[in-house]
Amino acid sequence: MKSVTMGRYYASNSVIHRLDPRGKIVLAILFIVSTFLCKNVAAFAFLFVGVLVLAAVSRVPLKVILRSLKGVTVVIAFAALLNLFLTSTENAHMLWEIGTWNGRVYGITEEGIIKAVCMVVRIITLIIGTTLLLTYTMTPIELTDGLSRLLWPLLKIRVPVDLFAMMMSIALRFIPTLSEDTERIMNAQKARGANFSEGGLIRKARALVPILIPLFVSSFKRGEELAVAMECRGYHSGDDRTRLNELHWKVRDTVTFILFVALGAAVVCINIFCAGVPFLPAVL
Amino acid sequence: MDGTPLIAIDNLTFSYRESGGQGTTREVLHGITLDVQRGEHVAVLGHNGSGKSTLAKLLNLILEPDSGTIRIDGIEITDPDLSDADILTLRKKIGMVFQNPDNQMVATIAEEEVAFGPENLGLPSSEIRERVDAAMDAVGMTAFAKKETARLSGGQKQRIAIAGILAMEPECIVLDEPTSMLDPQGRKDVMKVIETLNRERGVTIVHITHDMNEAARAGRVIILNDGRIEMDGTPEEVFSDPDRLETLRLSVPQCTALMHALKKEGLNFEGPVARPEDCIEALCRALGGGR
Repeated sequence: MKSVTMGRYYASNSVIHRLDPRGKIVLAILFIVSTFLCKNVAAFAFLFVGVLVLAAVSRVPLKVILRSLKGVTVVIAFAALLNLFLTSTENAHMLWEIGTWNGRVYGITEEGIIKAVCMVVRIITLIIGTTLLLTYTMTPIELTDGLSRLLWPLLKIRVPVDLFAMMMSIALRFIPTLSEDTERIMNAQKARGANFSEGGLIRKARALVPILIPLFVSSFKRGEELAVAMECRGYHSGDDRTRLNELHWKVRDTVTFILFVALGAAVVCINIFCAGVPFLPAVL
Repeated sequence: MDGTPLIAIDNLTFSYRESGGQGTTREVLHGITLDVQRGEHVAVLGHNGSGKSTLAKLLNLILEPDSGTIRIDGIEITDPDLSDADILTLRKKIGMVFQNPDNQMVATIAEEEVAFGPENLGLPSSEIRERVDAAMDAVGMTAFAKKETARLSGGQKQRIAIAGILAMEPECIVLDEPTSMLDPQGRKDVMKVIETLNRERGVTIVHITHDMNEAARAGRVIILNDGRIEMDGTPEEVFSDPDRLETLRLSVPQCTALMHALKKEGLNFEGPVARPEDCIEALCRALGGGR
């Protein structure tokens, strides 16, 4: 339960940490678009190097970054295997033929390997890039703050953006608390002979009921107490609340923004100029 | 210091609506009358269900009384026509710290947590920064300003919670069993912070507690029993009668119990004692040696 690193901030004072959260959200979107623009090995290699540079600049240790990939190893493996075996074998360099089924030849091809590798690189860069920009270098409050300010115009059409922002930041704040609660409840149930690891899917799901119910009860109690504490500290929604850290768009934000746009542009250029390198049809 | 008390409670009653019952109520406070002066350090004692926490929540208008009045700084807060701005002013004056540090934290980062109150007050960010830094310093948590609250110990979290209230620059802090979920070191740290705030900054403290030794450190001890004020005086006065406290399902501080036991054995002391340091002094004097 402790491995919920996706929402974990890594405290440091790097340039990336100090960037404007609004900017970083837009950068993350730009980055995601760039990963999907990649069409050949050269572009992927370029993007991968880019992400490594980003990681180095952010000063988040590699070990911490790799932890965020642990949760998606199954997804990565699945995507790799799928591409490895199911890439069309027509006009491909067959390395190891497995057999024919329904008039289609199955086997591992050179193209399949390249595609699988590219897919893995795509998922890894996607996750590392976005977690670096959005979670490791940005506190949940900065994230919701940035997001709510990007969405601020919606207040004009009476969408309570500030309330959603507060709800989201509280939800994030309670992730570690609730995961500790879950662990405690599970241990309590284990101590009374509950078994969460054996049995089929249905039995495992049923074993979760005695965890979820106390978890709900304790969450409601926590919520109630939090509401009272917030009221005591004068919380009220509306735009007359101020912030400890006002956001200021600085030169470094503009510079990084330009760098990211350049990254995207470079990917497109590489796609065009290195078209000779094994081509990847845009499947995903 | 002017004559009006900071908190003036007159004949206050309050009842909870029974859950499930149709309109049935259960009165938990029956006519509380109480004044707290500026700069006082008051401990409120009482067994479970004596109405201590209810009283605390009434001071901040989290609950509204059935009858009676509460005046904070001369302003009647029980007035039904109170505006939202008045309520905000009240909550700025009287800050509350609760028992469970996890359930009163809004933010992930310590300094953002401390800034929550001032942000609600709508202060400019430069002033929020000053207040946050000062509050962090006052509770000795400056080094943890950028840390995640989830990674702090219970005592540290509670000190951050106190800093969060302090940053609103209240005249009075009401603490509802702030140490009951902490380890001994956490308790000690939190108690030290509370005492320093009271002594050096003149912040009025209303400390609701279960712990007799903590209550003994206050300047005044109020004992609630079944929604009534049972005793009100200095710790020495209140703890002078262990038998009476026992009927209220309370005990006396360890050192007071020791003194009473020694007295029964025939050792002679002047006056009752509530704090360990006074106890040592009295013992030394009684045994004929100096310190």
